[in-house]
Amino acid sequence: MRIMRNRVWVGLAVLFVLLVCNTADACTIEVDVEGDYVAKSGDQSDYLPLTFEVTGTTEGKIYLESSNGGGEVRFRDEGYNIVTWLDVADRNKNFWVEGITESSAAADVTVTATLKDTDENTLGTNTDTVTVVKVNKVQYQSGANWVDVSGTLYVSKGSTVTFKAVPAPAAASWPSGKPVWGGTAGATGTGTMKAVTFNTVSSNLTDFKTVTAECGNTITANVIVVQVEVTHIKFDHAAGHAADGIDIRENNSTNITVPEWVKGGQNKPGAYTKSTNVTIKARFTVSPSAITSAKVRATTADAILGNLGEQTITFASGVSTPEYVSFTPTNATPGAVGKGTVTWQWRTKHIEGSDLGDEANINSSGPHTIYTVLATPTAPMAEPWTEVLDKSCVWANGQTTTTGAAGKVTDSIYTSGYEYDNVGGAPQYYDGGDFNLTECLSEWGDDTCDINCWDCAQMVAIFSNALGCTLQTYHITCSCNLQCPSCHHVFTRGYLLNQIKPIGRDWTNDPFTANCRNLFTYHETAWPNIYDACLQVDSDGNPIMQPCIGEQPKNMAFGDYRDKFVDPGDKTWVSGAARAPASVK
Amino acid sequence: MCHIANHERVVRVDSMLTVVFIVSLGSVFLWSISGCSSQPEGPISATAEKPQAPGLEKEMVRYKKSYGFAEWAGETKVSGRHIVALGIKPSDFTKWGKVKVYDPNLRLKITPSPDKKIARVKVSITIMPSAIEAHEGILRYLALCTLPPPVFMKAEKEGRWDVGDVCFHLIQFPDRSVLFARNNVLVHLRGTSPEDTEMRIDVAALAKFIDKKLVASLVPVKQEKER
Repeated sequence: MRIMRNRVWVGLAVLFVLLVCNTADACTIEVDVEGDYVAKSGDQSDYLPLTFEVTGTTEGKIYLESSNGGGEVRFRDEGYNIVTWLDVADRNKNFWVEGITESSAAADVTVTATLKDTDENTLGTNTDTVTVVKVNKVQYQSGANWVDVSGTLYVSKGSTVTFKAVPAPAAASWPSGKPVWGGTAGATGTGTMKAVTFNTVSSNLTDFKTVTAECGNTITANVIVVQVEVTHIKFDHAAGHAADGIDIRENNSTNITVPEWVKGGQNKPGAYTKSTNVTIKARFTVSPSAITSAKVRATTADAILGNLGEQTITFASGVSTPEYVSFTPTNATPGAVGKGTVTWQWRTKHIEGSDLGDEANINSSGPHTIYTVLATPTAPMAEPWTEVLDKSCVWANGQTTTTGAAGKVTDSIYTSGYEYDNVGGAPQYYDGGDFNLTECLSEWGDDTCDINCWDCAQMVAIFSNALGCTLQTYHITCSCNLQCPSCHHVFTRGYLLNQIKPIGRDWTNDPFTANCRNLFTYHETAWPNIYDACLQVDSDGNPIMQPCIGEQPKNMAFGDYRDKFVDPGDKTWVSGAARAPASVK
Repeated sequence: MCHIANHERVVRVDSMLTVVFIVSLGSVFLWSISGCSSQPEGPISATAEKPQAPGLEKEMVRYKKSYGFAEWAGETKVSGRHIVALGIKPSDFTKWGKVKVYDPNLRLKITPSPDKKIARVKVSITIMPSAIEAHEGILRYLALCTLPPPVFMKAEKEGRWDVGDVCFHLIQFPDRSVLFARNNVLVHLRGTSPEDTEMRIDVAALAKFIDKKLVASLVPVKQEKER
């Protein structure tokens, strides 16, 4: 019995020993800092969860400490009280790791959890690492490079700058949800980089629009948002037009004032002679007005004139100084007559010398209508009307010579829709010795406003000379006069015609009366040589009779013209005299 | 008065054109040729004259003869007066149609209907330095007609076109082109193409309306000089 009792006690003792030993061997602890990266001195929302997994015991304590960077983190319980230990029984409650001092290297903070029993015997230990991260600096993107923000940044209104937050330690990753972007410029969100568009102009040089990056600490970029604008553009900015625009006007009553383009105001065209290297001038304003410099250029997809090369603009009191700055277009003016447009996107960079990011678009100007003529316009279009250039530059588009241009003008007038005055061959736009171009343009091509050769000759000269031709008119008369046998008065006899096709009419040798042979007392063309928009002559070798092959007299020698135009019996006495075209009104 | 009919027929006797017979309205005149000489072919010297279309003053002499200028030149129904300011303005014409003004002093177009087939009438009124120059202004316009004179005829007194001091109208379509002078003012009324349009404006009434306004604008020449 006693032996039995002893055996029981021995068995219990062995069991106890086994239990105790087994417990000692099975007690483990694992500690985990969730995320491994913690913001330096962040608020409670930045704390990293600290979790424990304990096996083998439900009693005792867990002691917390950090090493290799001691003091860089501390631990808080779910009430956010700072703790250095916890009861094992509380291990499933919320605990946190708070970053205190940024790490000097990634994962340099060792978090150690030591499990001890109620007698302070160590049952197990475990470690995890954590990195305390802060924002080291903020950079902005400049082309392919990143530049540290230092001092005040100057950006153009509307421009977008990409910022990047650089962590400390450099090799660290950002804690979850870090860095946080903010500031008065409107940046929001998280992430390593943030593109910020600056839309509000600074009122002065202390009105910073800020961009902040926060990861426990906050780094601020102070930005002055600058608005540079092109406000005026001059094409005709110098006397003459060796390197600038031609003096033009809209019509008889309206001159074109320079500057031709005004922001929010007028947008008037410019005109240039062909194949000329020209300059334009532009005026700029800047806000805040204390800004003193910026680089400006303009780009375009249009071929006319092309891009405008970069200029450094100096500002005084918010206005460019000199007030108008010269720009040289990439392209010379077109090599042929034409009408086109150019729209310039103005761009700025390097405000106050700041090499901040890419250049930014400022405002655009245009579309600027540009006329290209062959040479200096001559009277009566020495100061061409745009209402004339609108036609002649289109008619003669692509022409490189005055003869070619005048020929195209002649063709276009002949096919304009006008009809010859077959009642008396009277002019339509004669106005006290002048040609009433205003009236003509207002009803251009109206087939009920019949015209005559005088009208046509003036038109050819006007529209051609606007392009740089030097046409005159040519008054063609017959020197074969008639004298009345009774009163001896000498009459201008006129001359008979071959087959002609007056403007808007059919082939005839008498535009006035069917089956008759009325004379022409005179005829008027443009000159030299003959440019006749009033009629076509028959070039089939037999101009006396139909059928006919129409030929528009363009740069036609007078002799050739006369052979085709005037009846063979009369041509000997037909000649012409050149004179200046009529003035216009 | 010598007269060349509108529709003349030229008969060539030989290629040298030594004699030309002109048959005009049943009358045959024998004309002698003067100044027949061959001119050099162009280009001619491009020395320009002051614009004075149709230009050559010697031609004007012939036109004056053709239109009997000496018989009416300088004659005014109201003497000793002239016009220094038109007593007429563009808005006075709105009763005839929509008015488009080319020059408020004064050149305009009256459009009675948007239908292009209804003739529009252009009005131009020009103050000239003197009555004789207004009358010459009529001649200068007539001289620009390619068809030999007379394309226009002088209006008869007491007739439909008895307006101003002297009035000329187209022979063929009188209401399509009317020129008249009142003292030192030249007036030209032109309708759009007669073959394409219908004239609904009473051009004679319009001319008389203008003339009445002009008469009301006359001031004594002396009085003007004293100002």
